[in-house]
Amino acid sequence: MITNGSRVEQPAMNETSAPVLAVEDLTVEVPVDRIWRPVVEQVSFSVRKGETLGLVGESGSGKTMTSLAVMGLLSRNSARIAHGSIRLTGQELVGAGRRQLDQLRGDRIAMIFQEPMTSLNPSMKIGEQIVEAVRRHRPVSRAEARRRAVEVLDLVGVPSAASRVNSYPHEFSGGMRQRAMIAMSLACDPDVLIADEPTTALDVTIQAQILDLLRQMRDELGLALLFITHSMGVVADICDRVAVMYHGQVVEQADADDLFERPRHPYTEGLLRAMPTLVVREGRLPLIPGRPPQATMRPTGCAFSPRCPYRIAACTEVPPALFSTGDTGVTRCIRPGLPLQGAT
Amino acid sequence: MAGLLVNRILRSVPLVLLITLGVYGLVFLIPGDPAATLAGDNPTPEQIAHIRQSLGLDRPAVEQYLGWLLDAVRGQLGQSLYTGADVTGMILDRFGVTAWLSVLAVLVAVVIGIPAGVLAAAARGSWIDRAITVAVTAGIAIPGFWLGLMLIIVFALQAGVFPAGGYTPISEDFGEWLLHVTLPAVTLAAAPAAELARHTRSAMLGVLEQDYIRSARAKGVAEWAVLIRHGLKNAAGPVITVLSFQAALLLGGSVIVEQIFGMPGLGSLAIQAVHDKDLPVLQGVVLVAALIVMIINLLTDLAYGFLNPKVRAV
Ligand SMILES: Nc1ncnc2c1ncn2[C@@H]1O[C@H](COP(=O)(O)OP(=O)(O)O)[C@@H](O)[C@H]1O
Ligand SMILES: [Mg+2]
Repeated sequence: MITNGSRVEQPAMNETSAPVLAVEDLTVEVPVDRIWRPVVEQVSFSVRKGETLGLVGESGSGKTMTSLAVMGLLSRNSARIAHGSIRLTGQELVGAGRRQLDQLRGDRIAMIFQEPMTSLNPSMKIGEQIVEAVRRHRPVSRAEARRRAVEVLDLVGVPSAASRVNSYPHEFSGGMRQRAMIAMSLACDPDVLIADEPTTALDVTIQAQILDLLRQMRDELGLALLFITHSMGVVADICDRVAVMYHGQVVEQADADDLFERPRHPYTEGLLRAMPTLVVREGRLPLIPGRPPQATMRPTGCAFSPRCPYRIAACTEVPPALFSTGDTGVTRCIRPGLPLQGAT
Repeated sequence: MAGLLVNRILRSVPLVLLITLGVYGLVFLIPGDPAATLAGDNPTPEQIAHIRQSLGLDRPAVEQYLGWLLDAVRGQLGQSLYTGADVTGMILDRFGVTAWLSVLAVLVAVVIGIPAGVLAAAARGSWIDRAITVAVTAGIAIPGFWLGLMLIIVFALQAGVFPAGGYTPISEDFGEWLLHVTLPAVTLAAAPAAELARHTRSAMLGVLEQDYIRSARAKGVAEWAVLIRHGLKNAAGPVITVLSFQAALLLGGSVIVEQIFGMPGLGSLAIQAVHDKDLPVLQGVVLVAALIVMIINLLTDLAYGFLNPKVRAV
C-alpha cells in the first residue's frame, strides 16, 4: 500500500547539512564514428542524507548514463566522463582509480537496477552474493557475513530469510529478486543508494511494495536516495526534490511540491499532463507530440523547442542557460515566467 | 548429485553396447575370408584354421559377439595373433604412457587456453587481445606432426634440453618422465589450447555484457574476482563442452605424437596392430579408447550439473 503521508519529516538540520552526493557540471560522452559526443551535458544535482532526489525523464534522456557515471561504471571504451565533478561526502570520484572506487562502491554508495531478473548472478546463491559484498568491505568471518545476509534479507521483507539465503536467483520471483538486490545494496549500510527505475520491470502491485520498501529503508537508514524514473506518478510518491532530464540535460530542478504545483519548464508541464491520473480526469492522452532529437545530436537552440507549444523565435537561436526560479529551483527555459499548468 | 551420476551411467549403458557392437564388427570389415586375410602371406591351412577357431569365426555371428562381449566384461580381450601375448596385458602395459601424456596435455591446454581466453575477453580490442588471437589462429592451423618435428629440432637436437624421443615411466623416475613427455604434451596441447582460448574468449565476451557483471562491479568486487567468480563460472558451460570434445580428439592426436616421439603408448600399439593385421589387439585398443571417450562425456555431464544449479535440481 502506498501511504503518501507516511514519510517521516526530516529534521531541520538536514536542510542546511552538506550534501552526501554532489554532482556538478557532469558531461558524459560516447563515441559516434570515432568522435566523442555528449549524451549527458552539464548535469548538476545534489542529494542530502534522508532525502530523495528524483531524476525523471523520457527513455533515452541520459538518466542511466548519469547514474553509471556516478558509480564509476561507465565501460571504458564506450563512454567517458568529459568533465565535471562527483563528490561523495566531499571525496572526488571523477578520476578516481579502480581500487578507490571499489572501496566505495557497495560500501558508501550502492546501486540497484531496472532488471531484477538479470541483475543477480544466476550461478551463485542469493546469500553468497550478499556475503561477497559484506566481506569485500568488512573484516568479518563467513559466518558473521552470513548472519548479516539473513538480517538484511529479513529487513527487506524476504519471508523466511534464514532458509532463503540458500536459494538461487531463479527460485525467486521478480519482486523478490528486487528485494534481494536491495538487501545486497544495503548490506554495508551505504550513505547513498541509486535506484535506476527499480520498479519499471515489475507488476503494478509489486511496484507499490518496492516503492514502500525503499521509502521505509530511506527513512530508517537515513539514505540519500537518487531515484531514477520516467514516471511522474512515482516521483509524486517518493521524491522530495526533482531534476527533470531532457536530451541529456537537467531542464528543471525544484522541490517536488513546487514542481507539481507550478512547473517552470514546458517539458515538465508536458510530463505532468501525461500522468495517468490526469489522463483519466481529462479523458484523453495528452502525450507530448514529437520526439526528442537523437541523443548525440546538438540542436542550435533549446533541444525541446521543436516540440514546445510556447516556442518563440529566440528559442531556436541559442541554447538556453539555467534560470533561477525562487529559492532552490532552476529551469533551462528562456521564458521562466510562463504561466504553466501544474498537476494540483 | 549422486542421482545425476546414477542417471547418466544408466543412460550410457545402451551406448556402451552399441560401441562394443561396432568394435566387434571390425572383424566383418575385413574383405573376403577374415581368417585367411589375417593369417598373412602364404599361410598354411592349419594357420587359417587356428585363427578361425581362436577368433570363433566358425560360430554364428551373434554367438561370436556375445562370447567376445562376456570375455571383454571379464577383462579378457583374447590373444595377439602375432605374438600370442595376452591383449589385456599388452594394453595395461601401454595404457599408462598414453593416459599420462593425455592428462598432461589436457592440463597444459587448460592452463594456457582458459586464462588466455579470459585475458583476451577482458582486454577486448587491445593489443593483448590481438596477440592472443594471432596465437590462437596459429595453434589451430599448425599441424601436430609439423609442430612436433619443429620442437624436436629446436629443443632436443639444437638446444638439447629435452630428449628427442623415448619414454621413462613416471613410477621409475619422475624427472626423466617429465623430460620425456614435455615436448609430446606441448605438441598435443597446442590445438586444444587454441580452441579453448577461442571459445573461452567468446563465451566470456557474452557473459561480461550481462547485467549481473555490472551488479558485481557495483558492490565493489575486484576486477579479477568479477572475471573469475562472476564471469568464468557463468561462461564455463561452452568452455567445458569444448574441453571434453578436445580431450576426446586428443586421444586421436596421441597416435601421431607417440609415433613421432617414439613413445610406447596405446597409439603406437594401435598402429602396430593395424600393420600386423592383429585384430584382437586392435579391437582391444579401440574398445578402451571408446570407453575413455564415454567417461569423458560422463565427467562433462557431471561438470555441467556442478556448475548449473538448474541442471543440478533436475
Ligand atoms: N555507446 C553509445 N553510443 C551512442 N549512443 C549511446 C551510447 N550509449 C548510450 N547512448 C545514448 O545515450 C542516451 C542516454 O541513454 P540512457 O542513459 O540509457 O537513457 P535513459 O536511462 O534515460 O533511458 C540514449 O539515447 C542512448 O541511445
Ligand atoms: Mg535507463
